[in-house]
Amino acid sequence: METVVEAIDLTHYYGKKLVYENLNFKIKKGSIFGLLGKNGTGKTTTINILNGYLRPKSGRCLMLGEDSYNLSPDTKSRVGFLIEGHIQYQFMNVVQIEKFYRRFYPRWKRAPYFELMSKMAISESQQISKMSCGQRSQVALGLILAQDPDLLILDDYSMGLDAGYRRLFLDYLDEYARSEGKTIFVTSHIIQDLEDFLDDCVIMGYNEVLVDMPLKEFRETFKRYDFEHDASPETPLKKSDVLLNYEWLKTRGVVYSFAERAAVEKALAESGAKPRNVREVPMSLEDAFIGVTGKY
Amino acid sequence: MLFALWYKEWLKTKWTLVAIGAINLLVAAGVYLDLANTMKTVEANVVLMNVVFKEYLYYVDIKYIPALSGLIYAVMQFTPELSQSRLKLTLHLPAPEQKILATTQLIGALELAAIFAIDYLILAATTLAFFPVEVFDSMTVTVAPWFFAGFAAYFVTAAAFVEISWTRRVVIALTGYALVDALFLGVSFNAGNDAFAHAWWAAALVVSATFLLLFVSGFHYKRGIV
Amino acid sequence: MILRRLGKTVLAALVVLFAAAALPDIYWELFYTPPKEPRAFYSPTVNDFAIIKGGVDGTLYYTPDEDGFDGDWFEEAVPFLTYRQLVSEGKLPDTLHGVAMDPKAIRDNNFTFAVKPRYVRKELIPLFPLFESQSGRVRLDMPEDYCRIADRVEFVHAARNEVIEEKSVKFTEALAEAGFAFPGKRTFGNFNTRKPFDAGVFAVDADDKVFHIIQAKGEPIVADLKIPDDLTPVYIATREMELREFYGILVGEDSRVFMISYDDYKLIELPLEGFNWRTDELSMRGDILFRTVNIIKKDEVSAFAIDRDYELIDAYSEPMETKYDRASGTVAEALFPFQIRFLTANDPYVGFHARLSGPIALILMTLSAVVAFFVYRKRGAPMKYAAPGIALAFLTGVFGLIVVAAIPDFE
Repeated sequence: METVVEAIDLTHYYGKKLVYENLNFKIKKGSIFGLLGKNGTGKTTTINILNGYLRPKSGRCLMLGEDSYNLSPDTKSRVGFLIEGHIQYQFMNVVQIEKFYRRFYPRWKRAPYFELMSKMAISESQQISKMSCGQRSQVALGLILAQDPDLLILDDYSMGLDAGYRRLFLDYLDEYARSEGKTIFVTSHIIQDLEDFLDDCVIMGYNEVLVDMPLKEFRETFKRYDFEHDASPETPLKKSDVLLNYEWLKTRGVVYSFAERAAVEKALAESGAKPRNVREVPMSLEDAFIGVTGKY
Repeated sequence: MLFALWYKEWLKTKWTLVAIGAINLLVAAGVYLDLANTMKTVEANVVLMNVVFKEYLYYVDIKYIPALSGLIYAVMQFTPELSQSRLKLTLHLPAPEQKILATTQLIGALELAAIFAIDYLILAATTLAFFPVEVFDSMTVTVAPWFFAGFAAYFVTAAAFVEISWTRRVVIALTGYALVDALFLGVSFNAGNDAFAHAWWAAALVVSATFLLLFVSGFHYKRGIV
Repeated sequence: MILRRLGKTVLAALVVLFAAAALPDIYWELFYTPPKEPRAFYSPTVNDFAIIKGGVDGTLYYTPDEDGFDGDWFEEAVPFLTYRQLVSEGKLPDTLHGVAMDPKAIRDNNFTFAVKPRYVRKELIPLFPLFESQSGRVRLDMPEDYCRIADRVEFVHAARNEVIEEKSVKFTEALAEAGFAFPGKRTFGNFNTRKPFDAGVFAVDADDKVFHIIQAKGEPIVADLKIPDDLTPVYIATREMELREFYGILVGEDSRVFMISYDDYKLIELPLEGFNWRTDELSMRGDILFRTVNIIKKDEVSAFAIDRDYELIDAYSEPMETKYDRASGTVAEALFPFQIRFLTANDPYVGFHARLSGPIALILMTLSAVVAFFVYRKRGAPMKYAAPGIALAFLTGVFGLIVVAAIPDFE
């Protein structure tokens, strides 16, 4: 499978604050890749490195085979980039902005853009600055689709969008990706929408990668176990490879793990927690996300 | 690319351009009207006496207008680019980054140049209508650094705006201020006519060189060098 | 790439240039107090120089031999300056050096000339009014036309802004006949109506010869001063006086100074020493008995007393403290490896004036280089990138350090 984006040993600091160390991931051609994580885990930093707006302290990033720090105009024309907040030139209107971008992209396709615009209740002369956040997101999406890029990079596409617009946005992307074999890279902190959308995902914690696998595999292997206990309110538990994350409440506890129940029970017993009635509990993607990243 | 970028700058700055143009036109026209009025009420030879021997600069009202125009234009041109990192969109366009920056800045400089040219034509016509050509020569040498200051203010403000580190931004702004301030130097209250008679070319050279500052800031912006 | 490199060089150069202009400027604004400049007058009562030196903390009065005098002493020592006060107090002597002291005679004989480097360098707009010197009226009138001496003489009517052809031709012919070589260079005169009469203008021609041009009843009167071949005039100051003893003074390229005698245009050289019009100010004060010339240099004031036959009577000089003789000057030299100014008191035009400091500056220059070295090391810059910055910090001291601190030099 051809690799479209490859991050190799990315390490970055802001001043002395470590963002992450040795981040590695690959995005396969034709896949939809999600970079997930809570706020402040370095999603936008990674996007900036990917687009050459930031030089990592060490490591590098390849975009369509080119060092992301020095992207050629040709490569840029093959990458569609949605800036966090659906930012566009707010002093233009729907027609003007299409006229502007058209001149830069050899594969420009007007149809998808105007198709999307026609679904919105806005006049052609309305300036982008006077649009709602949802409308703006459609303009930004339409422009990226018209650009006909091989790779779409969407930085927090969900920001400021209500459920309807988020769904609309994803439907378009899904259709686009499936029908034309394009590659999509999304970051988001709203997880529930992505359940049936992502192929692969990386979940970032503070300073580390928590999960790097196909979404399907993550959903199948990452589990939640609930149990009761009589122990003191003080938790005897310690995080480990098996006990990835836990919650210790008065009479019951929750453990998140990639391990099977037997292994989890063993780990709990070894810690002296004396659990009763350990059972697997089904999770939504969002539950699983919180299970991996923790509530705080 | 050139047309597209010009189109974008035009959509962004047309009202700024109209406003700046109007201010310039008003002040330049004011210079004409003031002098025409003076020539009606004061004898021409006395006015000329004051122009030649007392540094009566009938066009002094225009002095800070070009610098102010350059400053305002740069602010209006680059504020939308820098708010919400919109410049990232521009620099993601499939064209060499320096070419994009150069073109953007060149468009601004040309638009300012057009306004300054109108100013100068009005001053020139006013001068030649009332005074011998020697006064025109002196006026040209005297106003030249004021117009240079307009371009300097524009280039430096643009560079300071695009720069992402506050330390560097302050250094660029202070240096730019010193440069613009130096272009108003002169021995007398009105800056003295012809103060740059022997150094106008050096001033032009230094001001032209400030065109390059945006490439430094732009690079820092593009690569996130804080 | 190349544009960015150039841009970085431009930024570094501009920062150094304007820091070297602004920082010393701020420093001197804080720590400079102007030195006391002495002025010497040749006194007919003391028969020596009476010297006054004023400043914020009081005024000193002294002679070359004795000091500690007061203002009353000085007032009587320079009767030609203070004669009206002396008359009212009845203190004006009847005669001095055998000459009767009459207030009107004193007033008629008093005059001053000043030559400053910036007067010599300043080129006015080359237009001037040529007054009618024999209008038959008591007061001078501003002419309605302005004169230019370029490839020919032209009179431009001020109100109509048109050349007056007939008059232009007449004057051009008169000048040509007198041997004037067109185009003319500079023209000197007293271009105002506040003078008792008009003595015309002095025009320098293309061959650096000087011609006197007067308009009398609309007709040109032109005279060649026939100045010596080895004299190139750079400045002429004129003064119309009832005395009618001279037209004014003329300064040569070689800094010789001459009086231009009235009527016969004889040039009388003043017996001065060490004057240089490029750097020194000359002030001349004439009275009924003497001409005293003060030459003010940066570090010295000298005075020459000359009698009315232009023979030297006495000379005096005293050193003057410059700003670099003081502690504040030494500190400035230590702080700044050089200082740049775009304007000086001696030049009306903007230019580039750099002053290099003495070896004491090397201390901070070296320190700057060391600081730069550590800054780069902290940034982890390879030597290839650090070396130019360290060199800059050494060569330009604190100015270069600003560049090092503000501009990241490697990527």
